[in-house]
Amino acid sequence: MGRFREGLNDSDEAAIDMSPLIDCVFILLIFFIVTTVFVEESGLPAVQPEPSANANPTDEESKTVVFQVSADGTIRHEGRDIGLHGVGPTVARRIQKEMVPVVIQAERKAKAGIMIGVLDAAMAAGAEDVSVDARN
Amino acid sequence: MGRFREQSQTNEDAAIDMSPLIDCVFILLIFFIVTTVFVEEPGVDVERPRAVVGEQLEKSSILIAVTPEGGVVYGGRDVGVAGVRPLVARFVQKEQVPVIIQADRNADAGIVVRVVAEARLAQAEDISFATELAAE
Repeated sequence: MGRFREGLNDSDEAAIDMSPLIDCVFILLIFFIVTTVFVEESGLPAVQPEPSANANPTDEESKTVVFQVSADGTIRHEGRDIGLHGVGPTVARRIQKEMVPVVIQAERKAKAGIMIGVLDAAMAAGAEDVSVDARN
Repeated sequence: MGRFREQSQTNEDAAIDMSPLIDCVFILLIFFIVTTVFVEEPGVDVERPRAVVGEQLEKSSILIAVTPEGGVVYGGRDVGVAGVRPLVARFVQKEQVPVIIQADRNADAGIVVRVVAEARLAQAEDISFATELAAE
């Protein structure tokens, strides 16, 4: 019997049965197709203000552009309600001479959408150092 | 010659040459293996805030969603604000992984800022807010 097999092998081309391999590969393929998720996210950096270690904190503070987002949706800068459209021009004016940090102080009950809207507007105006903070 | 071929075809059982198919399947398989990233999606639908600026975020990141009801969701579970730090710390201690916060438009800014703070405390360096690119 051993001899017969040997003889058969010699005369035929040596052909391995590939079907189990193919089955296996197909199963792997289906697994990877099913588990693949194409995460396409765009986003904005979320930075928190650093506690100022500057020798002259008051000087630093006066340079910082602060926006306050309140729970009712108003956006204040230096006490005035400027609205979302006022953020861009304000930031652009302040960073004209030098790059100053921008801090967004949102009230705890303010909407995250408005906070991120201000962040977006500030970044669109060219600010590089924009941070978000919460306050009561 | 033609007759000879016909003869040989009818004698053998009709076998299709599978090798191009297998090659093709292998290429697909390799493609899916390479592109697969195992990201745990939060599994909740959030309305992302619209933004004009927005950079493409890393595909393999920790995705944390903040719902309007105040839930902090990771991988289909509401982990709460307190659960963010151990969660992020577990990933970050091996290597730096970006953190993406999917904040709903109507979520509380206070919770979103606390999630950022918790992630920061867990030594995450790259934290961003997911946004939807506004068509302009």
